[in-house]
Amino acid sequence: MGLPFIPVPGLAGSDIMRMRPDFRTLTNPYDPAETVVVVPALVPDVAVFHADRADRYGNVLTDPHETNRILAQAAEITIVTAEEIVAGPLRGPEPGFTFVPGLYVTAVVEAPLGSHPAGCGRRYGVDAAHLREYARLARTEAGFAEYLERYVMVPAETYRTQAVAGIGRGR
Amino acid sequence: MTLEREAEILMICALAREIRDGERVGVGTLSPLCAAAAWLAQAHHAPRAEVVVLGHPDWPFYDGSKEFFDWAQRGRLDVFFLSGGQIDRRGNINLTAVGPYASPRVRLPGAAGSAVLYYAARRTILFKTDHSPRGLVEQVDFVTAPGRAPPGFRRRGGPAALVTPRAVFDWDADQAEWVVRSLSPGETWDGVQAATGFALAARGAVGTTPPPGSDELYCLETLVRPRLAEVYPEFTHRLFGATEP
Repeated sequence: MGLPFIPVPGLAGSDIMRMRPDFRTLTNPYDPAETVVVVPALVPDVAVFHADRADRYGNVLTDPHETNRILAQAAEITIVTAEEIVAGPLRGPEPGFTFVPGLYVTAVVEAPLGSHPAGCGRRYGVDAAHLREYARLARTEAGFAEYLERYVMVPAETYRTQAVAGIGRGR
Repeated sequence: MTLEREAEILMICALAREIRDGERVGVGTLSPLCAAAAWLAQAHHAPRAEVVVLGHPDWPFYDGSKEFFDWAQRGRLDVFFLSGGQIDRRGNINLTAVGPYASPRVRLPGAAGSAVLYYAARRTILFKTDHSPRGLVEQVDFVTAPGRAPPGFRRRGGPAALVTPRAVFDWDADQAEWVVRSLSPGETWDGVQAATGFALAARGAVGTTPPPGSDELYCLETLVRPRLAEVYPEFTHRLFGATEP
């Protein structure tokens, strides 16, 4: 939106206001009886989000539960990973998806299973067994290091093979 | 803490009974009990209620939670649900940290917009799946979402009720405190007081929360279950078991 700040209807009386000195209050210039909270604009240098599909022009179909389009509008650079890069061009919204036009998108990257171990719309659900394993390992430094070694510091293809097994395992 | 199935069903029914016909009801993230309650109300006694559940395929908004917030801020959200690591006598909610903020004993998940939606929804129904002295406190360690607005700030709504496995509380807006409406079957005043970190208040007779009726259970099994499974498969499986309805 290109605004320097925006009023937020709420937050007053919350200790969040104490922790965030950049959150201020103003008298409503149109109604002097009212005080409003204002917060400064966020302009991310880079936004990265995962989508269902993207085309070579940067057009993207993504999950309507997420605020991906707002992210893309706000950021200087937007990188989209997608389950699938299609020939396209994607021309607009489809039922069940939010359309992000390529105008906002800097780069697209094909990343099948890119949401794992979280789910991705209708393509695959949450891998609950994997998340339980992560929760167990992440309790200790050693366990967390083990998790990184097993799932993060491996080639993408190895990870995907494990992910497919995890999704197949079901819940 | 995982609740017993029986207590979960009672909480779902108690939450559902707070919803009136025709109301617009929102359910945020990680709230399977509230999603079940909203759909139960719709199936059971509030057929014209409009229910919006984050994560469900029927989610009507194009721009995710941003558009949901706009809708709520615009005054269109009648009922919302909130919980917290701590809830206090004054209706304050702590979703941030237990202990000092700089060195917390427990870091909680964070505000997630509660400090706005608690203002925006006409009635917010609070719930707490563990009714204990450390969760229901005299004063929260950190006010993430306040029960009342400071003077000068416009606020559309606020707390309406608090549902736990042991009791249902009404919100007394004049005194700004919780008032016991009913105790769950088998609970006693002294038992609930011992499990509560603030002095219980009552106005008049305290009843017993009606146990789930066969009509409510029927609606849960047949109408709520399939929709719930679309968002919370694990929870639905735990609540109803593996067999299909």
